[in-house]
Amino acid sequence: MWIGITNIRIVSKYETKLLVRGWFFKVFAFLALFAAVILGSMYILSQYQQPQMVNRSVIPYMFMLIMNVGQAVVSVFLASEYLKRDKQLDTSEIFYTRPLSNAEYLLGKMWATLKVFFILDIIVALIALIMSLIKYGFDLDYVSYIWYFLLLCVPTLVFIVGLSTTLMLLLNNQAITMVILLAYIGVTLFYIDNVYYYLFDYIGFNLPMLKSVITGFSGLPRLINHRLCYLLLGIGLIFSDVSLFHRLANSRYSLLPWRIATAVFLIGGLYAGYRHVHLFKMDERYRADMVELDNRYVHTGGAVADSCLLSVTQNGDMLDIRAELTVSPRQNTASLVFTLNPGFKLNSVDAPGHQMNCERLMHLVVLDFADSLPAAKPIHLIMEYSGMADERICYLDISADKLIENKKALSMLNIGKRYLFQDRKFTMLTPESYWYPRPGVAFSDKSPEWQMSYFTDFQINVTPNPGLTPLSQGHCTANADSTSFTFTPESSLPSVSLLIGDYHPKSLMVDSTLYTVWELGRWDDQFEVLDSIRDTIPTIIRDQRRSMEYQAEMKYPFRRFSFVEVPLHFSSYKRVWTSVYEELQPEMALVRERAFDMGRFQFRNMKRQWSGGGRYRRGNNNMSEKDILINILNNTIYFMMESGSFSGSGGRNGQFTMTQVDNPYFYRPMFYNFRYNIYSSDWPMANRMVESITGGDVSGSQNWMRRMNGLSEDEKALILMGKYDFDRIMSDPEWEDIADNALALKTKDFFAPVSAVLGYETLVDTISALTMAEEFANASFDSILDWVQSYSGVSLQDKIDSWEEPARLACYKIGTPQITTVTTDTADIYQADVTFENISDNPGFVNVEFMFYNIENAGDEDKPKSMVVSVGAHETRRLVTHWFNIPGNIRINTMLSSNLPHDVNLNNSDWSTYEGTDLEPEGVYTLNGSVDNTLPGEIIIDNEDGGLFSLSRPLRTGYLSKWIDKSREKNNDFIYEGFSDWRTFSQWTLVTDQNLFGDYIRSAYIISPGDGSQYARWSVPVNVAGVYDVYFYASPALYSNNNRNRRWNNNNNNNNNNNGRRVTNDYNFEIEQFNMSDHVSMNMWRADEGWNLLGTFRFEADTVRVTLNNRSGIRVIVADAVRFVKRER
Amino acid sequence: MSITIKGLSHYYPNGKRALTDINLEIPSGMFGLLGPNGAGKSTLMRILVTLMEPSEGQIDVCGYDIRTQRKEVRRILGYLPQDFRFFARYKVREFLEYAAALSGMTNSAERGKAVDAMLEQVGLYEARDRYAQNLSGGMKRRLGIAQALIHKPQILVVDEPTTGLDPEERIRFRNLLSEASSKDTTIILSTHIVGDISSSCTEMAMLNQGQVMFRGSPAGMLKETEGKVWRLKVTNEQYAEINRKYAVISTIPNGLGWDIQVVAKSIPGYDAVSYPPNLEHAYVYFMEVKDKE
Repeated sequence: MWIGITNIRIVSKYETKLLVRGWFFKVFAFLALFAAVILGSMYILSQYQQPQMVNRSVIPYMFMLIMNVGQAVVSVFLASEYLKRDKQLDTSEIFYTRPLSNAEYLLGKMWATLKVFFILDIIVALIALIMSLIKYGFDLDYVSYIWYFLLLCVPTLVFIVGLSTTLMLLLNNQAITMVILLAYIGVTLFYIDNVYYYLFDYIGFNLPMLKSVITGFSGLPRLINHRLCYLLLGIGLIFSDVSLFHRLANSRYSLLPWRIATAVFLIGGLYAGYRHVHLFKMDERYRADMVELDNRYVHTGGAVADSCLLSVTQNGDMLDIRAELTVSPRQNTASLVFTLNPGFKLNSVDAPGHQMNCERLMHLVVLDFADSLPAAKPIHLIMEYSGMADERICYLDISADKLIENKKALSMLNIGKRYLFQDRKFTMLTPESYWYPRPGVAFSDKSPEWQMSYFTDFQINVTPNPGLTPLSQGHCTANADSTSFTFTPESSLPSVSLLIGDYHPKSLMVDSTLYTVWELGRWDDQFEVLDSIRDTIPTIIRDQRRSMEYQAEMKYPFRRFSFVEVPLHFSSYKRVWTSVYEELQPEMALVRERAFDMGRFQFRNMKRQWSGGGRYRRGNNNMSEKDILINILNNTIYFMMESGSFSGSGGRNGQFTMTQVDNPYFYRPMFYNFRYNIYSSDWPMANRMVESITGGDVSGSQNWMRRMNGLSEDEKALILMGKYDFDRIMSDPEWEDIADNALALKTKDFFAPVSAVLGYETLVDTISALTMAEEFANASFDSILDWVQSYSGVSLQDKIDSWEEPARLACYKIGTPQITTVTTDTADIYQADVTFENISDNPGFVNVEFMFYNIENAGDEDKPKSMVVSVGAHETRRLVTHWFNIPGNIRINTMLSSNLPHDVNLNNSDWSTYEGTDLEPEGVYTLNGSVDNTLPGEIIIDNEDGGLFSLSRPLRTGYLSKWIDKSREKNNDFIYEGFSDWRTFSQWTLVTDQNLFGDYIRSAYIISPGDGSQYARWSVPVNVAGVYDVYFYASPALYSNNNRNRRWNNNNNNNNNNNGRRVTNDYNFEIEQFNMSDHVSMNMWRADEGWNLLGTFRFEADTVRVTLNNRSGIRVIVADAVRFVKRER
Repeated sequence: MSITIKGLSHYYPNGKRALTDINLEIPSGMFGLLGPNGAGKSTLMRILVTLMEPSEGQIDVCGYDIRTQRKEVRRILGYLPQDFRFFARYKVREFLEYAAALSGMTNSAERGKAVDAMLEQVGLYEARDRYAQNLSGGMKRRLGIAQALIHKPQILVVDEPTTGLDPEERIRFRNLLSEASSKDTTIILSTHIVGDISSSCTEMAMLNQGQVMFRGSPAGMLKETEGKVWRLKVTNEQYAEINRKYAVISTIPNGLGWDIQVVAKSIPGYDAVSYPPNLEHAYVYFMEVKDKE
């Protein structure tokens, strides 16, 4: 196969002229350059720098990514336009009769297209580079500019140019070709995402490609393989064009080599694609095999590691490790099982004084002893192993979907996820990597026994590669020439980690605690900014630490604390069985490089932003520089006291879902989890349960979140708990965000019988005291249970037996609370009565909490303000309490129940007040009869009342709308939707809220205002003819956010609707019997919360229909309940 | 012979026959290919310039087999297509340079000189920086011949080159071709305009319905037509009858009836006077009279 480069060059030269003269390319080039300048101004030159900008590869990645998407679209037009023009212009024939070959002609044309885009890419990259040089100086990642060009632009362009020309030649129709290709691009960008591990992402839009300054790309070989797939396919398609081109070849056989080359490249590309998927599938299979193996051995040879001496020698990329362990079997056993990273080759295992056989099964080390080992009798083991740690063992409990889920920076740059690092320059091995042998298996989806962990006495000796510094837990001593280091923790620890790198410390000793920031390499020194407050820093640290200790009600237990820099790819996941994220290790927090995702650590930038005013100053414009710096540092440290943040995701019609995102650096594990450990052979979740009840539970959602999401996380958990086994809820990845709530609810319910006797606060205090008595040691959960049961006299056996079963949910009707003021000789006493009726077959508990507005006066109430009331099946109970102050709120939490909302906060508008003379003794009384909030002769029809409440059909008739709605339908456990100010409800939507009416589900249907064609109808059976007052249950809280808004609307009572007709803030009702109808309007801005009188009517003994339509000027129509009260003559 | 065509036939995919058993030998010099629209001229041209592959037959171009040695054929070929009007956005000089470069003129300095000389020759030097698509019809055709001649081809194929040109441009174009043919180049001029052949070609062939009707020189064609062109005066009724039976090639009203010219072997029963034929008469003779025999 001979091709003349000269001819290709000639064709390309003249075709390039044509391309750049075309308006299409001119417009695109202008937009690209314009976008580059705008992007550069926003992200590079701006005073307000995004924290991610500290990574110098962000800029080339961002620029090339955006360019790549644009040119992927534009090149489709240009490539197909080329061939269309060839077909249309008769002058093309004069080129076809020249002696150049088809290959030369076509390759010349293709090269011209590629060349102009490549040149444009390079110009855009240069713009980014120049702007970066202006802003950051020479501290740039120059190589990344080439990497992103090669990885993103080249394969994408070659592929799309090849594909579009091939399709054009096959279909011979530019319009059809473009429709197909643009649809393909759209699907790739907006739908395919990470399907088949990003296989179809030819643009590289979703591929994780952000480069770490420390360790480079994450998974570069796979990245190259993926891009190679499209490069080869693209070349193959371009070569196929030589055969498909409608021009006679120069000779009979001249196309044969191109056909062969086409086949070779296409097969090569397909193989690379297959390999890409295969490698991921292999990883998944390997992980599944590990879990399978764990399932087999989960009950075998459980043991506690009492001590562990680790001697680590770094040998280039490799590690040679010797582990000396003292382990105590938990029961008599002839086998012991350890988990050790499967990447390490086990060189030898020795158990002095014991004969045994060792088997290395993937990540397990199974030791079969000749004789049975007695329980709790320590045995000495020595294991020597070496090699490279294998990342596949990490997060076996996390689903494959979750592992590959996008993790984006600046909403577009995808970050690869790494869980361990090991090479000659940098090593990071956290406990998740199982870098040292740990008793038991890594993860089992059959038994939770694997979750048990224990405190161990560690000592770590490390000989790193020359010039590197190792980090681990404990006091560090180095030998004379600093080639070997020993770490000796002052106390037992649940786990240890090892980091080796070119670390440089910045340390400060405050009150006998050593605070250190370990930086990798030498970045621009963020700490110089703090020089002017150097003397104040110890005070700030001391104050913040005190705040933390006050909040935790515990002392910080370690002698040192470090922020340790790690590569930005380091990732972790929320776990069901622990609140600890891998970012936190005993004594240290792992911070991604240059605080990539934590702007508060970037002091220079923060100072610039504070000094520049804006939102940080919040009106404090007279702050001195010192004040600013003190604020910045306080703010930085304070982030460890924030349990989490909120994250929202949008949907259709303004639907918005809020989720609570944990702060992985939340301080609590440092105070609790690395210090206390509750274990139980029967209760693997014991530690998590105790943590939850003693204050580690940060789950639960706020009321505004509940409104937006429709249900709180607790309520979702309750709905699931009523349907499914507890184990399933805890293990199903779909519900992992709710699992925490389920565990907390289950734990509270577990201890509820004891709480009902001792009081919840006493129970919590007791369990806390018992836990904290065993610092840095393994405390037995069984002994806590024994103590609790013996002290309260309550057996928890029933709860233990039914732990795994679906929860038997109770349903409560809550009576209107009564506050009776009784004046005694000394003071006014307020008697609070709250009544509950359990209308279900399942016994349950209700938690009642009294809250007081005036904190100081509330101090008078020296008794628990939160109490748990046991309510048996079909039982009515009344709680009577006395208070010196009138309660501000009564919060009723119905615990394991079907009540919605599950948590109700009542205030003085929700209860009845009386004057009285006698006080009833405090206590819980059992009543005969039921809670009945209704009056005699009263009929209430609620939206939950099946056949008596109906709704109009939805208006939607368009096929597309129907199809979209149908495609969105899914079997959902959660039928209630959220609402927010900006959401529109085109059809009746079911919501719950404590302000709504209901027996145990306080719900209503809501719809946005319209032309009146949509309606809700209550069919009220009137059994006795007579005169009735008709009421409607109004919930202004749902459409009025604040009083000012309400007043404004009150004064401007008339609005225009969409049709320009004047509408009012009225709800419009028709009250109808025997074809006689009355129209009633009610101004909803003036309506009270609760029942509002619509009017008085005479009805015969028959059904009365009350219809509410959606014609109104108010924000939302709420169809809840109507009430008929018969008037006595 | 420059080009030898043996047993050439061509069928379109729908089965329609475009050329049937063509046998031709084309010598150096200007060779005319005459025939009406649809006679198969353009198909034959496209086969000769390697844009189409013949269904049957052999073509030898200066010793190269057109089926197996296309590259060699293309190297010695210049081609001006029939419709040469639509250009990409090239300037005149760029267009010519591109054509020259693709024909193997890789030395840019030499190519530049050749292009300028060619532009001078075709009278487009002043227009060299104009976009080709903005040229007039005649200028475009001159640019067409320039691109076909830029690499000094041994074979030049021009398909209906003068169609649509005004008389002045047509003469200018014919002169350009004559000039080229004087440089030992074989020029195949395909046309349905008899005047193009008569003024330029020494050898010619005439095609009709995919077959060669005549092969020889224009003089030979005239000779064969001698005694077949008649002049006579007729009445209206006679004219109607003659027009039905013979090929009438001119009619001039004379007050009493018509002075007409007729191409036919003989016109018995009328007072017809033999008239010396020209090439148009010969063309009609072969198309209308001989073809129907």
